[in-house]
Amino acid sequence: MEKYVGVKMVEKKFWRCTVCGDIHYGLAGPKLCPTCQQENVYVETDEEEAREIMGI
Amino acid sequence: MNEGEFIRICKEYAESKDFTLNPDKKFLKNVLSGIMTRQAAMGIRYCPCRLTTGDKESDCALLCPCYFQAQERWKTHDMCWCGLFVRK
Repeated sequence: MEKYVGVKMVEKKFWRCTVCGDIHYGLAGPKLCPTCQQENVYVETDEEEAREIMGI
Repeated sequence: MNEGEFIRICKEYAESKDFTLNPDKKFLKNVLSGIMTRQAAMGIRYCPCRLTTGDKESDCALLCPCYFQAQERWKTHDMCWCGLFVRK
């Protein structure tokens, strides 16, 4: 747990589920998508695409 | 996102999976050009080989890389729709 304290924002990235478009912000994409329940389907994306998908 | 960055992301996505970027450099260059053109025109990296509907929610499935493993083409031709990824 301690190694994650103070993780710099610059180290976090946006991740997109290739199946359902779920967006995650963190060090890595989740192994299991919480929305569509598929495994190993996240791909790194950029803030611009993430915002476009989220509509913000 | 520039092309180099997109290639890096694709390689990392393919790592430890049963597919890889198309080893045909000329073909790959053309597909990447299409993706980047789509990005420049629409602000987002849609598959260069498929038509968008205009509905953002359904077009989300066309973002590259897409979930091509569910496509018939993956099963029959060992590649995604536009040929960016091929089976190892």
